[in-house]
Amino acid sequence: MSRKILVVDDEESIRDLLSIILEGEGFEVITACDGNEGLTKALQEVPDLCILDLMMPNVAGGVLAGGIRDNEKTCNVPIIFLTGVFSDDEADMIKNRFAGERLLAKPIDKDALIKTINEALA
Amino acid sequence: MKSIRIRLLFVIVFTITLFTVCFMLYGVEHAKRVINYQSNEYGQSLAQGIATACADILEEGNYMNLNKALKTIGRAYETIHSIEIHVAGVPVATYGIKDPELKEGEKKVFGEKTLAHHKVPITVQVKSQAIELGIVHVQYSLDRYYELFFAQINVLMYAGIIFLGIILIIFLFLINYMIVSPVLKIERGTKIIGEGDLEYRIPLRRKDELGQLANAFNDMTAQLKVSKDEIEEWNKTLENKVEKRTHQLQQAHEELKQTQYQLVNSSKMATVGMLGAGVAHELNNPLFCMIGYAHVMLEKMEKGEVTEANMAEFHKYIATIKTESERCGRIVTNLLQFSKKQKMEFAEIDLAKVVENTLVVMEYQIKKWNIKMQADVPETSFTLQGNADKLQQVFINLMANAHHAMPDGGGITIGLRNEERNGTACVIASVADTGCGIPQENLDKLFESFFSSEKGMNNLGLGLSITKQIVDDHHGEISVESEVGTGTTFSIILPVEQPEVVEEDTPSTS
Repeated sequence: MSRKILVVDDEESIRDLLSIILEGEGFEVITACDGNEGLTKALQEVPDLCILDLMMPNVAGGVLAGGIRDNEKTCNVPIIFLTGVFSDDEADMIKNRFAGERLLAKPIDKDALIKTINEALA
Repeated sequence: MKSIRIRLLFVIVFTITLFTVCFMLYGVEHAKRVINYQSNEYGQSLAQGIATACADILEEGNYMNLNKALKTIGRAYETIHSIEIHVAGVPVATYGIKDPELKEGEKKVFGEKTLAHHKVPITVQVKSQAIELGIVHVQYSLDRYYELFFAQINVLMYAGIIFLGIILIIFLFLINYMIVSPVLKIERGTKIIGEGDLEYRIPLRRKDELGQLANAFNDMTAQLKVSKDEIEEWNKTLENKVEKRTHQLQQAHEELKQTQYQLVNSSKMATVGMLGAGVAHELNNPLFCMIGYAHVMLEKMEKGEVTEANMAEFHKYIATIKTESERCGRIVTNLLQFSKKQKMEFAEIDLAKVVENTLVVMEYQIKKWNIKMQADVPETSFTLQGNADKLQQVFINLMANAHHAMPDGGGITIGLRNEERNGTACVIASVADTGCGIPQENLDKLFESFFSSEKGMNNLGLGLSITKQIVDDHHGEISVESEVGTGTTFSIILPVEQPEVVEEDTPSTS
């Protein structure tokens, strides 16, 4: 049974690209375009892994991750954060609030992405 | 002319004439008295002489001889008019014809009207050893004395007239010398000084009152000259100071203008800095897409999966790459254009396009600041003469300002509309937020430099003053309405047409 990954990003082209890449690797991909939809889908589907964009309108990635963590069903789902620009602020925020979770800065190399996903799922 | 000279002369002439006339009247009276006395004396001695001469003849009683003697005496004295000798009241001897109007015994005085024919009667007793022999009546002429008297009067008249003339000439000369000439000199001096020649001195060296007046006048002129010189000197200094000050002010103004221009530019660069992080983010998203799709396609090609069926997919990937790279290009171009230092050049621009470009460069900030953007922009053009670059900064500044009013996010609505204001076609842009609002007392200070409600280091308080500067450069107006707790709305009124002569606003450092 293939592992289920939830991709939340406000940009359609990025959602599409991640779907193509991840489905090519044999994952099942669920997508959501913002924080609210992301939380709904996470609770519905309970994915094996979440990939969240940090910078999204209305509910940002960090807030969504908090929601996922706070729910019993999803509290153990590993999360990979995507960021447009790698900044110390964001790195510190993740280190403090979501210790152990991973942060990737765009543009991401495909191999590095797969490697990180596999590490997170292990 | 009521000349002082003539008046003074009149008074003097009048007085002297009065005195002279009085003197002459007195002289006439005196002459009368003297002549009267003399004529009386003469008459007495004449009559006494005749009586003495006739006494012996009367004693003898020889009246024939008496008549002869009277004739001899009468011929010897021209002045004797008539002689009569009475003895016991009867005339015994006569000489000449007696004037009956002259009454005997009356005392006649010289100068009286009754003294007709200039004759006077006189009566003397003829005595011999204290025995009265008879009476002598003599009438004698006063013609000689009248001649004498009139000669005296003539002398007096001529002397008086000559005296008057001399006095007049002397007084004329004195008045002229002592009063008229100095007064004229002072008058002339006053006129010359009045015309502005403060170097002039009244040439009057005298110790009298007029001399003192002239001296006082000269002193006054000297004082005036000193004061005038001082004032002129002061004026000159003042002029120099004003000129110098004006120059300094102009210089300061130029510097200020330059500083302001630099400030606008540096604030723009600060905005570019703020946008930089966002732009990087904005670029990384499409870059990620492009790299990702390229990677996917390359992999498929390497695996030989380029089939007819895949071509549609490939086409889609390439289209995405194209769209994304175009997006990158647009972002970079916008930022570059914005960061370029540009002269304040006006061009025909569409404000709707400016708003659109602003939203492109601000995309990252909008997301980061958790702002819900709304554009109330009708599907029409908002063409006006302006500088797109500067106006874009106006929108960025106002959005940044809105963000500071609602740090946890909120809504911003940008509105555009064409409207006529005071007969001028205008475009009205509004930027409204749903933030905390601005207290009434701060609204007036809002557009002042370095005014900021926040005490943070990041906010210098220049944003709104620069915004106002840019709007002013466009001959527009900016206003603000705010309600605490509800939100703030900035309105900008921009004229469609700029005035013909646009002030040169391009310092040489640009």
